[in-house]
Amino acid sequence: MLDYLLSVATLVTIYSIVSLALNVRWGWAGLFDFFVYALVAIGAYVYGVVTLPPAPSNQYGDQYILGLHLPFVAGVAIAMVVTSVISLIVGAVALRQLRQLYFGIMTFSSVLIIAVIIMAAPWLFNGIIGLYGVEAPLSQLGLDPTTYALLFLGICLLALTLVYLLLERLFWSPFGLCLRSIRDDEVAAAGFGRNPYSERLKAYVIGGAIAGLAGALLITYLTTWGPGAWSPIETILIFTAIILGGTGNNRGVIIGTVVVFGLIGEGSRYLPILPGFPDAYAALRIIAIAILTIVVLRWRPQGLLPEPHMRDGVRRARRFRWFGKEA
Amino acid sequence: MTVLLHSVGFGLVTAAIVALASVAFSLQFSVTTTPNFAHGDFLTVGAYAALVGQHLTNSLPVAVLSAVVAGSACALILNLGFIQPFLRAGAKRLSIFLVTVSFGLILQNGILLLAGGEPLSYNLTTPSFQNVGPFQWTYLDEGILATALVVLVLLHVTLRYTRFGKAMRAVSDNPSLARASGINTPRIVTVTWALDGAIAGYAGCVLAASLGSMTPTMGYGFLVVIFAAAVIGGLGKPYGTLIGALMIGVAMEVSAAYIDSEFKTSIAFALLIIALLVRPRGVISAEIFNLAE
Amino acid sequence: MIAAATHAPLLQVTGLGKSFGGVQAVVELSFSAEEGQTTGLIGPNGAGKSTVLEVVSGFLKPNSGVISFAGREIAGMQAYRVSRLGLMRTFQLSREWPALTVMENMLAAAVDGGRDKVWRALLKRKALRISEHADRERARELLSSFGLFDLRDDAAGSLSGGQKRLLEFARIAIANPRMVLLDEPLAGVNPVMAERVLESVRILPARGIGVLIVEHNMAVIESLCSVVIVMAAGRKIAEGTMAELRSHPDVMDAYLGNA
Repeated sequence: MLDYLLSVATLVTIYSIVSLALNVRWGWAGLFDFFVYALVAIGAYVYGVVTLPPAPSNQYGDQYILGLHLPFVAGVAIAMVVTSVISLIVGAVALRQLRQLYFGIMTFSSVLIIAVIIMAAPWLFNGIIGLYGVEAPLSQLGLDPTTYALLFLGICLLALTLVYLLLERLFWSPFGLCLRSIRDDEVAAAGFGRNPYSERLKAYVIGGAIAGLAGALLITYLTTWGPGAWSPIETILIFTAIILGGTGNNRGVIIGTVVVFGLIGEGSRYLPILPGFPDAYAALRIIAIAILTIVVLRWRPQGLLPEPHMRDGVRRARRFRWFGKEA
Repeated sequence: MTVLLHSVGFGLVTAAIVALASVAFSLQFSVTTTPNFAHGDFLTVGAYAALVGQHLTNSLPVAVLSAVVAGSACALILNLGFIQPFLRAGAKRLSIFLVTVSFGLILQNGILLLAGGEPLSYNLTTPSFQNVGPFQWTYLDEGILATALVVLVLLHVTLRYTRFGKAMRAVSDNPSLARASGINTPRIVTVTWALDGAIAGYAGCVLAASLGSMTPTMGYGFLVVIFAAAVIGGLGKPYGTLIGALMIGVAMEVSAAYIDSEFKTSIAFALLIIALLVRPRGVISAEIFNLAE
Repeated sequence: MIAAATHAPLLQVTGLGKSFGGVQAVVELSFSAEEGQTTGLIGPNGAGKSTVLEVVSGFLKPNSGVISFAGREIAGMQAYRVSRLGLMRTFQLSREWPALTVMENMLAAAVDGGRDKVWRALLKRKALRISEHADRERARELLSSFGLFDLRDDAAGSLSGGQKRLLEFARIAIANPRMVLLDEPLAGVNPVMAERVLESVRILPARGIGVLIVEHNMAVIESLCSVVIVMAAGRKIAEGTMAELRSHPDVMDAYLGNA
């Protein structure tokens, strides 16, 4: 039981990081971005090929590039750098003139193209089989499985906390305000000296780096990663989590992720088994989430926690004062 | 050379299917300006409904009718049951788009729930090729081409020469002006959705027939191809979309002759991305391809 | 105020041309606007006045002509770069940032080269806090003078039309440009609010901000502007004080006759 809870908690934590990444792009910058999960996948793949030993010549014909056998932290760092660069390239091109619907279509298609490339070039990431056998960090400590699971959850929570604090700081900074002003009305923002293209691109790259981090954590947790693990559906679920929790609100987004992936995702396991309907769970889970999305959009489109605003020009007072006094 | 010609022949068949689905999409978008992400799932519903119809009565006309009715019903439910109430509540366009996404997921997973995820076979005739001019088609292929042509011609005639068609074009061009001139806009919108669903349902049944099987995600997977045709032709420009569908269909089949056919659809993706980069408003922009004239 | 006699004007437009499709909206237009002064731009509907503002502020590209602002050549420059140089504008329909509060609108408008960079948010915390504090004080002071202080925590989208107009001016004031282009600031404003809007417009030159105002209300133009430029059918047909223009035959024609 404890193992199961730890596993759910870890997955939800990692998904929360992805939600935060998408929140930067969508909640703050207003970009209808489907590409985020592809970046999670790329982060996972890059972490894999960087931390695994060189491709073994075994009877399965596994093949992948690199295989540098680097440690955990290096793998995460490199994954984040790669996803940042790819975000820069995709963003630089897509943000030039595409908006809203067209941007969504473009990023949606890009996800599918990446999938096709990976399948078509098995020498990259081992095609349809994917990568496996990823080493768990700190495994040399020789802990028993439950304690290790706890430790790994701790690592993920640490990552989530760091990302959260970083994004909170950005949100309340002039950059964050500038981004939201561009989202609200980019023409007016241009009239006040803001370059909508470059600011959106920055948001896009930041989101990409965070997605890469999540990807690295995900593959480390699952120890394998292949095309079956990601698809545009994932992104739609993340969108639901954000809408439910509160677009733009970092805390809300995490809560939304807990609800969508934790409660609904896992809660459906406790439904009685229906004989003769083997796909019932997967289907019912998504139907429930889809209905939830429609309900939230209709009756509480701002989500559980609305986007926070300044009071009298000052950020809401925080309870913890580690990082200095309130001005 | 014959390989090339045969590919073009297959391309025309694919183009016919794509054309049906994407012209319906563009038509609906031009009148309602609501991008419908559930469109692909209308196809899937049509296919499964056709299978059920076939199963129950073993009659092809009934199967096709089931597809058309089912597709139409889904479209009407989406519009009347979801989109209109949302619009009345003042929802933003993005919310409405996400509603269509969710609706599509419900359709898809509803089918998954009821029929399971395994591909169900749908074979209408035995494939035996004949040579028709430079092309090589089966009876099924010819049937697809013929019926698609009939549907598109009927659509064209409706749009240009009937009162209803003219009303549709008026609404798509300028909704408030249309309403002010006494056109019953809500009714036009409803009928447009019904038409869109009907054609999409038929397209789905045809798609399943040409593939020989159907899965719950069949239509959803086809969505990118539909978008590709619609974007190249110009979202909301049915005639341009028709040309776009022709291009996509032929490109897909011709490339399949030279590269692994698994990657057929990636040609559509690539064309879509190029179209989005070069001219997001549509590569084909000649004025005659506007819906309203 | 700087005596403009021997300086080049802050804004100098020469031979400006802009056409849409085959329609010539602006033809061979030349005028200038001095620093710290209020210049009026009037003319019948369709004279091309708004187009001039759009082109000068960088939201549209001119087909021909030279626009020089503070000695820099800005024709064809993108809007965000023009505004960074200190030439800003208002819009016919107020463009506030609706989801942000009034105060946030002010802070977002307070342009300061480089302060909204990402790394600044993360590293130079102390310096950032000090300048944010300064901005807040300025914002509060300005909101008070525009009568919007009590609304500062309300969403800007919930303001009335007139209040949004005032917010536009308050934002311009905090951004402190060298010159601002006003596009029919009194359009759609009821008479009660109009007086407040007028006061707001007067605040700008008092703070040293030059004004180029497009308006239909002649009384307003007369009371505000030292120089008035008259346009018709895309060209400049007269220039001078209101008194001079009153008896100018071309001006009479333009308003009463064809154009």
